[in-house]
Amino acid sequence: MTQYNESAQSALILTVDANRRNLEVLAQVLHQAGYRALPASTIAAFDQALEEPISLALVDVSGFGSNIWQCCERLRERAVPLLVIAARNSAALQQASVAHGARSVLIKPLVVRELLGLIRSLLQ
Amino acid sequence: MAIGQSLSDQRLSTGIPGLDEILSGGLLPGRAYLVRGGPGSGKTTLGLHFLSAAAPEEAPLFITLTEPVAQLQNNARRLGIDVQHIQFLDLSPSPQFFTEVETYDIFSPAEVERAPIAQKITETVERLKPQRVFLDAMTQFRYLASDAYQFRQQVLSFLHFLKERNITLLFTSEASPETPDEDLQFMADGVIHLRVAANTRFLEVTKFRGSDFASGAHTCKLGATGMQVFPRLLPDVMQARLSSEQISSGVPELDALLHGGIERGTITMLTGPSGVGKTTLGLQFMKEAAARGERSVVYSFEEEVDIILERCEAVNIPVRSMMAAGTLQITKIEPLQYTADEFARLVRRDVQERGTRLVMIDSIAGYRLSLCGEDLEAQLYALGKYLQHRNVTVLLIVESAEITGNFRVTDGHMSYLGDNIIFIRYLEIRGEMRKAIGVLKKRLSDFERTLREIEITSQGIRVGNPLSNLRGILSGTPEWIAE
Repeated sequence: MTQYNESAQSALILTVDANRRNLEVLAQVLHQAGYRALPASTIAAFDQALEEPISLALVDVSGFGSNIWQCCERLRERAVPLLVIAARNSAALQQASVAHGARSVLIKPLVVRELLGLIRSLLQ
Repeated sequence: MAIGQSLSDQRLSTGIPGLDEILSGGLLPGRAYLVRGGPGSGKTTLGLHFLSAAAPEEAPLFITLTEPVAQLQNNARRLGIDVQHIQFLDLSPSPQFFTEVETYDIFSPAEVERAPIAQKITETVERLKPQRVFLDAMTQFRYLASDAYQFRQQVLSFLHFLKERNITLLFTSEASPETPDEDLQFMADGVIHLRVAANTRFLEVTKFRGSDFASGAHTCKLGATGMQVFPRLLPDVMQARLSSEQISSGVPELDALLHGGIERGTITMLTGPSGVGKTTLGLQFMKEAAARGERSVVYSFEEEVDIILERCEAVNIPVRSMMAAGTLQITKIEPLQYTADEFARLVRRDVQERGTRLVMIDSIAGYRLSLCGEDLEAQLYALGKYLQHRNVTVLLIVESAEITGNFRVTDGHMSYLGDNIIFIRYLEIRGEMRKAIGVLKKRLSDFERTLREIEITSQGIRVGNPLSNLRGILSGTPEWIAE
């Protein structure tokens, strides 16, 4: 399904999620696809993670307050492509996400194949 | 019954002799069989039998998606099933699953769990190279498939994976009206149903690709030694061998009444009211059989063995020495202990393994009351036919309800079962109660149309001359014909 290329330095993907199990599962999926995952479950952890050379960010906004949007802004400032993940879709959420730099909004549950396709195209 | 007729095909034992018999010798290797049934119907037990019947080099593998391995091993040990050679692959949820506060929601479980489970199964099968696999329960995969189509594809591909490796698979399904499993039944090469109804367990095979099988519901038992299956006795197609050899009763007058005796391999009904001496009469035939060195068995549904022994000894039938010589066996059938299939198996064993030539069932009413299951009369018919075809002489004791008065042979519609019907009844002759014996039907020979007086004395059964000067005998209050 995916090509695993050990030799090349794999892309580091920041995953932000208040739910640790989600981070674990997400890390599994990304590892299998040959990426490195950098998990952050709190805003503080997120701040720390910004020091790393991030290629892409996946931000699950559920469980965070409105300050998650500031995080998104900071990613945009650094020109890190960003995907917002949410529990359900709404026009307001869509608008806020795009306004804060999201390339797209993904609704849970995600389909692994689609997610990986999207990541691949964003990293090219 | 067609047992293992095509010996060219190799069969795998299920570990349950009765089930092998139903399956015409066993399962065909390299195929997938579905075991379905409600909770507690014995699916897992059947699987354990199947795996424990394997030779160690067959590397039997148990894949569990529901019960933890320790519990399975424990249960198997308790049933005396040897799990020493069985490998277990535990895919049941760990206790941590429940205590974990957080569960993921970012992907559907189907996406997350299926791949690792499939991988573990593939890895284990590749590593252990089992020849027999039991998977409990396939329906768990339903929750890991995003839709019915995916589930079907996954199961088919899994079955294909095993078939390529020539593995025989038994898999279970937890079926209920809410979650039907017809799809699995279509995909399997064979389907074994387990069901519980009216305190009786049934096993039924409805599909077995490439093989014959015994259809219908067979009873089974889950006991201290695991599962036992009792194949239902079907009236076989074998032609009845009618012999003209007559069995003497040992009482010359009674033989005269029967024009020589009863024919070997026939079914004789001994009918009469309570206490009239039917059982004693039957044992009289057995006494004579014992003198010829033949073995007889009495299946007593009503009376205790001791009482029968006492009574027979008192009327000069030496049952104790007959039993010691091995020419007589009296088996008490405790009420509600056996199903009709199980009883039939008991009788068949006595006939096939011990060479029993004379069988008495005492009585039909007891048979009907004591055995569990459905269609008891049909099963008694099948048993009677089976015995007849093996040239075993059958005595059926039939109690008639009326002590005196108008005559009825049997209750219900059982009289078609008998080739011969002998009756004993009370008569009132000049204010005295006497007993008379007569023959109502005899399929293979003629018989005396008159009654004879019968007495059971300490010297034995005594039968008098024909009571030809009486009339109105069947009414119970005969009159002398004035001559």
